[in-house]
Amino acid sequence: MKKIEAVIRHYKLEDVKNALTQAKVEGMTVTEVRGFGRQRGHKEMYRGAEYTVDFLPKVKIEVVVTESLLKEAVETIMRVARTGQIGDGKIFITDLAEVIRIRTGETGESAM
Amino acid sequence: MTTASPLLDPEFEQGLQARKERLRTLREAAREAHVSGRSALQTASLMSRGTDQLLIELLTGSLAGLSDADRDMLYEGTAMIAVGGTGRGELAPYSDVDLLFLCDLRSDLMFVRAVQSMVRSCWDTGLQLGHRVASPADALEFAGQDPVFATALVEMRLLWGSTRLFDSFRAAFVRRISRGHYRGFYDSCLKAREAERLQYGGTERQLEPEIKRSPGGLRDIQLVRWLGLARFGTPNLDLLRRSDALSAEDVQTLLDAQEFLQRIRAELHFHAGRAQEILTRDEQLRMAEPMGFAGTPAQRPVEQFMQRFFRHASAVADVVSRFVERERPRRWRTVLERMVLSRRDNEVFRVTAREIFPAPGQLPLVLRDPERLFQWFELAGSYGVRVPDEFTDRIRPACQAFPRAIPPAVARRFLSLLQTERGLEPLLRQLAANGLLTYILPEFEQIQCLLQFNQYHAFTVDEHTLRTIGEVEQLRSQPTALGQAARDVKNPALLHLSLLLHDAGKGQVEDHSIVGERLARDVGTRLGLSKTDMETLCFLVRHHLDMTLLAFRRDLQDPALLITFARQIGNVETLRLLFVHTAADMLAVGPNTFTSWKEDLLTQLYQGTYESLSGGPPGGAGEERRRELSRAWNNLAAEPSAPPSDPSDIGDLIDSLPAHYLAHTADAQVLSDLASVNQLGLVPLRIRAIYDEESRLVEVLVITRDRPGSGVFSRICGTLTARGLSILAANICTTHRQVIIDRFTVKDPDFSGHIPPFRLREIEDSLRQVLEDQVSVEEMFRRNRRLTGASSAGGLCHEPARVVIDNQVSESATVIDVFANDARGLLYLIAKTLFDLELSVNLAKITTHVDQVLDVFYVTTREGSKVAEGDEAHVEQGILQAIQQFNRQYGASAGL
Repeated sequence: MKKIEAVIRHYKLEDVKNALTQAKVEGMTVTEVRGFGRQRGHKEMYRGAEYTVDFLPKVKIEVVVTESLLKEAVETIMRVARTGQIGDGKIFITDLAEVIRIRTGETGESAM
Repeated sequence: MTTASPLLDPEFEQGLQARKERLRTLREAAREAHVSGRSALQTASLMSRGTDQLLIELLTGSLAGLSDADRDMLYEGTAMIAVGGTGRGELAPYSDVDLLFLCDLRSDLMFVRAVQSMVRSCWDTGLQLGHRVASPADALEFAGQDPVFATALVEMRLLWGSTRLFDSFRAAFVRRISRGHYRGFYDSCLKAREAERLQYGGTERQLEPEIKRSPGGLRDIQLVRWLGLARFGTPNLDLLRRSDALSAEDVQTLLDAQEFLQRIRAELHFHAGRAQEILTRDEQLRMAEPMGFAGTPAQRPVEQFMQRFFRHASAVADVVSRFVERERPRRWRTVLERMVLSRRDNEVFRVTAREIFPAPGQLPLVLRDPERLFQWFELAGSYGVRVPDEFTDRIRPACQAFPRAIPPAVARRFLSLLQTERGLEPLLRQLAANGLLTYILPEFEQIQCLLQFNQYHAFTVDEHTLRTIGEVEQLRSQPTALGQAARDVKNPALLHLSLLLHDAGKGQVEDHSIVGERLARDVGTRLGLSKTDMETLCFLVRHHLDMTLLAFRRDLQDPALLITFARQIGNVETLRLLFVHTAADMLAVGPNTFTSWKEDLLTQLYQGTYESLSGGPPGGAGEERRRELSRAWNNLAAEPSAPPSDPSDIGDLIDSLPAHYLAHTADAQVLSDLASVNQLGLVPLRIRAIYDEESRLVEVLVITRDRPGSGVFSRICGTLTARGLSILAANICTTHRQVIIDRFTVKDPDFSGHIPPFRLREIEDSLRQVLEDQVSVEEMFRRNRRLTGASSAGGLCHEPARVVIDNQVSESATVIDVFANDARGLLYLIAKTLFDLELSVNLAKITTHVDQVLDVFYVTTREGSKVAEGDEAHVEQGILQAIQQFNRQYGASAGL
């Protein structure tokens, strides 16, 4: 079991959500976040003091998938969230020790 | 009796099982009555009667070990009294049972022991018990300290024991709350109820109400009973009607609501198998159809059910608040204030520090005249005082009698009232409570108590609507871009009116924005709005969701998006209104809906569009940035190699740099421009063309001193066009002493890759020749024999050109927005047209995206003033005609 965290452009959320649903990824957590990577300096050049933006609004999605679905899920996010410009975001993948469904106490893949 | 543990006693065990079975059978019978459609009152009485019997048996069972003489003695000297809901004889299936045991704690030890044993049995049986054992004196004293206990006593009923003791206790209690004690009782009841209302949501229109304690719940009806007993000697609603304490209509409203609420409560209890009092969303969904709501094409069953619920709750809250107001003990201070401290506003009204009311004898006159009524509330708004609630009973019937047609004077009063910026929300709530809001906006009636059953809305549509008004007021004090926009709104009445109507189209099959726009047009006509205001109102209602959609679903860095949106919006004031409208709408949906994350995105869309429309960011450029630039300049000027400069002159220059110039020019570039301006004495005309590898575009910079009426801008555009260049962007500004800094981004279609230096020198030379009057623009065209209208991106989009003249954005200049399809030579054409119209361009921002152009010009007349209001149409037509003629002339070749 893997957890995929992806920080993407806010307006790509709907598309990514739909594409992941089609790829049979069930359940997703979405958080409004702010952050900056390399996109920041680029933006400041053109904007005067009025517009100094340190942290840009982004969306973070978290999905948990089985090993077998990992590749497809990541590829889906890459394909849909990509514009080719600086600021497209990043994907982080981590190993999961355990998943438990609170209501039933089920664990592992049956809890996903 | 043995003292062995009752659990080991088989007889006891048997009795317990039997009692449990009794209670189960009782609840089963009540459930059958409930399901078979008996009234909620009948079900509650059935429960109550059965429980009474059980309680009496439990007590007599506990007394069974006593001698007959002892029992008789206790029966004569003590009492078991049902209080609260149990006392009223209406018990919900799993409600607590509230009992008071009256006795002398020192002498009646046998009774106290029996009660202890009975209480244990009650709990074992499964009856939730709230009880108190006290002497009459102690009970009365405790009632004086605890309003909850006192109000429970209002509906006391003797279950077992001495009638004499009960009667004297009841009489003593009534004495303790009526006449001289009424004010204290009134205050403590209201205080306790108010605290409870706040604890359970604060509004009668919240999505998961508590049947008993939320505003408009059963407890409000009980409040009437409590005060009824203290004031009129009876808690009975029918008897209160006979004493003229309540109208027949009000009593009916309360009884209907009580039946409806008790029915829901019983259903909640039966389904949960416990005292479940909160009408959760799951329960609403489950219950709607069994409660007889089938739904309509526009409304789900649950929405219909909850609309009925909220209507009942609102009606209860309304009847109760009027009753409470009528029965408020008169304060000598209020009376005195009204007599002595009030001052006259005019012949009709008098004002104190807190209230406004008609002068003696004037009330009938006011009630006959809707204009006077609105004036009353308008004055309340402007003085920041209240129209006392006690007048509601008079105002409401009066305004039901008014003819439907709204006289123009009334409409004017209402619009003027809507200009109020402080305390408008409570004022509108009062208008609604008095029936005046639906008199003037009958559209509001359809959304009253209307529920939107989804995850987002925490309030009914009418509640949400009124909250938006309060949110705007809050926004005005925010130090953010949003706060600034809210403060800058020029016509608050229009914003408020639009907010009142934005969801008025809900609850119908068709899209509510479309229905809303139609309603807005009706309202605008009725209120006699001007044509411009009418269009703005309809636009706001029709498009109130557009900014949300764009800000959260689209790429805000996309220039095409901003241009398209700017084109649709048309002018800065409408944009500002929509921005504030959107934020207030989201804020009023519920807590935590409008996060700072969302505010950022929405603000970004606002600022981007504002810049597109006006050429500069809202609110001007920051002083901080100017100070930093001054410091940087002084550092440069202090270097030994630096040419001499006059610090105060450069300071003035920095202060006069327009905001849009600063917003789009990096610091290094600004400093370089300043150096050029500083050198104008030696080099009066500075021209530079630089090729940018990355964008493959040429930047052309011209810095010089302008002569009024010389048309520098138009001549530069002409020269660039004559040399075959497409102007993609221009950023021109005029600073103090008529120094101009013009920056053009141009594309040279003759060179596909790198542009060689000789070509750049050619461009510079041509500009120099024209600006130094050696060659005219016309001559330049002849020499280069260029087709001026060759389109650069052949009509992909066929939107007609649009010109918007805005005299409000800027203090000193008229702002002209031109939306058009791009074509080479277009900018020169517009610049020349402006020149021919004898307008000077002080500032311009040209943006092109694919084939869409948005040009913003700040112009003044040759005399330096704005375009006169009468001339706006002339200017607009002049530009439009020039563009149309240009398209006719070159449009055919454009597609080739």
